[in-house]
Amino acid sequence: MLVDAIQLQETPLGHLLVSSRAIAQIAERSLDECYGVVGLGRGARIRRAFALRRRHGVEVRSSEQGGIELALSIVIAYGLNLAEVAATVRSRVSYEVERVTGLEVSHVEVRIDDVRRGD
Amino acid sequence: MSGAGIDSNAAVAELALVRRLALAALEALERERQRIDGLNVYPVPDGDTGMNLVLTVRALVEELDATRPTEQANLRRDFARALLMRARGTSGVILSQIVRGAVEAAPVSGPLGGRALAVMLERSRDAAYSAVAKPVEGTILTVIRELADEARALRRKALPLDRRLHAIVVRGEEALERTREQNPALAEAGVVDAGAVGLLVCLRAIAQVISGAPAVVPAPALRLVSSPPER
Repeated sequence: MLVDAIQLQETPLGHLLVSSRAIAQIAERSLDECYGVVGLGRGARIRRAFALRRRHGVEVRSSEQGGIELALSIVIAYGLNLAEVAATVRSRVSYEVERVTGLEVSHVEVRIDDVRRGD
Repeated sequence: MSGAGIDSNAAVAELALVRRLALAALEALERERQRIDGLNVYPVPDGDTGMNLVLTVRALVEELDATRPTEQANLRRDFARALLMRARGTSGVILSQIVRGAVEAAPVSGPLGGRALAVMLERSRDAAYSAVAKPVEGTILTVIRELADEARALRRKALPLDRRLHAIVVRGEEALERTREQNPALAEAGVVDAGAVGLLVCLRAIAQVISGAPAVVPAPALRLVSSPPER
């Protein structure tokens, strides 16, 4: 089932929902500040059928365990260690999304779309 | 040893000096590792900045040990590439970019004057800023930029290298103190940037080797890290 929002809270007065578009926006902003990332990719095409919403390089899915899953598509500066940059990206983006939304990020898929010389 | 030419003695001496400087930086970082770890609140408060910098500079020393002085251009390029591959964590990757810029711009021969040092630090700054879409101020990036600014401002002054380095590091320490306000995550925790402290610990150790002083004198940068945040 495709949903475009995820429930954060359920109160007697009503639900609190956050759209996957908003989550993607938070992830995207923290991606821009990740060292080694010089751009966003064209988007992950993996498991597109389950995509809630794709915003440039970020795809947000709800996870079966209740949290969310992110698929990031990025461009990395040429010459850097791709695995090391991917690891710091994964940790920074999931930290920021969890900090802002309170949702648990259970899985972060990182796809390096391209490498580009920054200088 | 094949390939030994006219410059081989100079190349051996250069490599030995660079290794001595790198070792001094590593020893200083090892002494300060826990304090730097304790300052680590940005980009993720996982307390590993000091360890990542130690691992990165240790890799640098190992690469130097594996280096044979031959063709200088290849040596520098290969060394910079190897270091980038072995860098750990965000601060380690940025530090390796700073080293790459400096290594690529270092003069092939002769003493290191004001202009050459300014060019090296400007290349370090450019390399560091080149690999991020949106540079965040109040980080190691801010400090390398101010170090380059100071080197440029002093480039025509007649100063011996050790006093020039000292003046540049002092400017870096002033910039470090300002990171406390520049980055909201640091402001909230009331700390200076951990990666920037690591960079200055390295530079202070290098300056002390060059001036012949023992590298155990506590520098202002070290006092800044002496009160880790409550966790």
